[in-house]
Amino acid sequence: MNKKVMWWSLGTGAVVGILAIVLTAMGNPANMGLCAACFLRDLTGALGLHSAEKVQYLRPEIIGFVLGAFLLSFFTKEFKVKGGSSPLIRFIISVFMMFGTLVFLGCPLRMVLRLAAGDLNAVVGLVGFVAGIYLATIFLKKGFTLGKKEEQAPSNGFVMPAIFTTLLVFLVLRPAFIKFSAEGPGAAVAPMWIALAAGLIVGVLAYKARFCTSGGIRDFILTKDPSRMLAMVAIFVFALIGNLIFNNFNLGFEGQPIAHTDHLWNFLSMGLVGYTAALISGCPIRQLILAGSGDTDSGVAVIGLIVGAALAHNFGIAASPDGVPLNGQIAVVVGFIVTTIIAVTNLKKQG
Amino acid sequence: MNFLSTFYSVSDALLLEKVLGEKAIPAKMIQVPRALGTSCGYAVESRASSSEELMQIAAAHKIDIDKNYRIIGSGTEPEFIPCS
Repeated sequence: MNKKVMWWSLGTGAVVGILAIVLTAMGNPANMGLCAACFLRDLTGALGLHSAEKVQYLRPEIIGFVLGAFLLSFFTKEFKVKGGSSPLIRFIISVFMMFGTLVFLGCPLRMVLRLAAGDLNAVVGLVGFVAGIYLATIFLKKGFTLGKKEEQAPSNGFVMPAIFTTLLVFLVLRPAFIKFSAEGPGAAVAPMWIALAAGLIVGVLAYKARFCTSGGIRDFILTKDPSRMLAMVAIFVFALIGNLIFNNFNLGFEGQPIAHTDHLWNFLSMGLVGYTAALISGCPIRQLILAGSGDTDSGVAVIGLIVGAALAHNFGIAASPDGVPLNGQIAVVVGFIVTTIIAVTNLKKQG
Repeated sequence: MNFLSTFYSVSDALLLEKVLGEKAIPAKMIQVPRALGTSCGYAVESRASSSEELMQIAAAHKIDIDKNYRIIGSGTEPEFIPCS
């Protein structure tokens, strides 16, 4: 085990876990102090790309993730602009990754936060997530690749940080064309500047530690090195302690905040998230961090996640605490089929 | 270990580790050291006799190696010298 990576992972996980609990205590939705997918979905709604009125807010945390990674990579001269590794395929895979998160009701980060609050539905999701990553490693061993990333003109790398800086301006100025929920999860918000600061801290640490929920598990499966996976363990432990302190721990399947109890679809949806994330080397938060640090393929993936969020709500794919709609079930199955076709058709012939 | 190889894809790292193992050349796949990049990809440490040997094996198995490095020192902060 790489001890330096281990300590960075543990430290990052501890900070993420603590910040998630603090942000929830200050107003963010229950068990959703930090969630890359949910917050991207809110951002998508704020831009008017979907019309689910209860989930529309330009989440400062998301802006902070991207800009935190950008600032650290830029000032440490690690900002390297590269891309061109099957961007359209990454886009499609990211759309389905977002479908998976919105059928489960949370990205892998929120899955861990839900676990730490006693939500046993997240255990089912975790098993599916690991199974999905394992499935992806089978294709990786068979030669799956999306091709080489090429160095690109520096201007390409500044596009995503510029977009998210613009969103920050919109958040501060609140122009009429940006939508803000009046009720529901989108109206449950921590104070803007605190949320932004938290996002920046997570962005910096996640960049430095190469934090990735799917990557940590993939590392363990392929190399038996648990060091990056320990970030998830630290998030769980620190969020659990926080939930016990704030009396937010409620063990069970029923009555959990913003969660449903459909085990099959909790398993399959997070399976799809693990499968897609491991194939494009990054869960939603990792894609945001990489997009901020010059990886234009991840920039395309983030756009795919945003489009996926819009489609999930416009097409009735997203689940609710009442369960998973038929369109959501179909979307997950189609996601597995499309991702598998992509995996099979991108196997490099091995000598 | 005396050489470290980096790759464009995870699958190439997996394949080189496997091929070197079949040739009884000690090899281990690890995360790309932070000093060499910020990606979450993999590198392969090996006891190959030279960078040329690694490139020949890679070519024979259609493996794309990005760069080979000679590993100087050990412990938590070894130095990586790019091979020409």
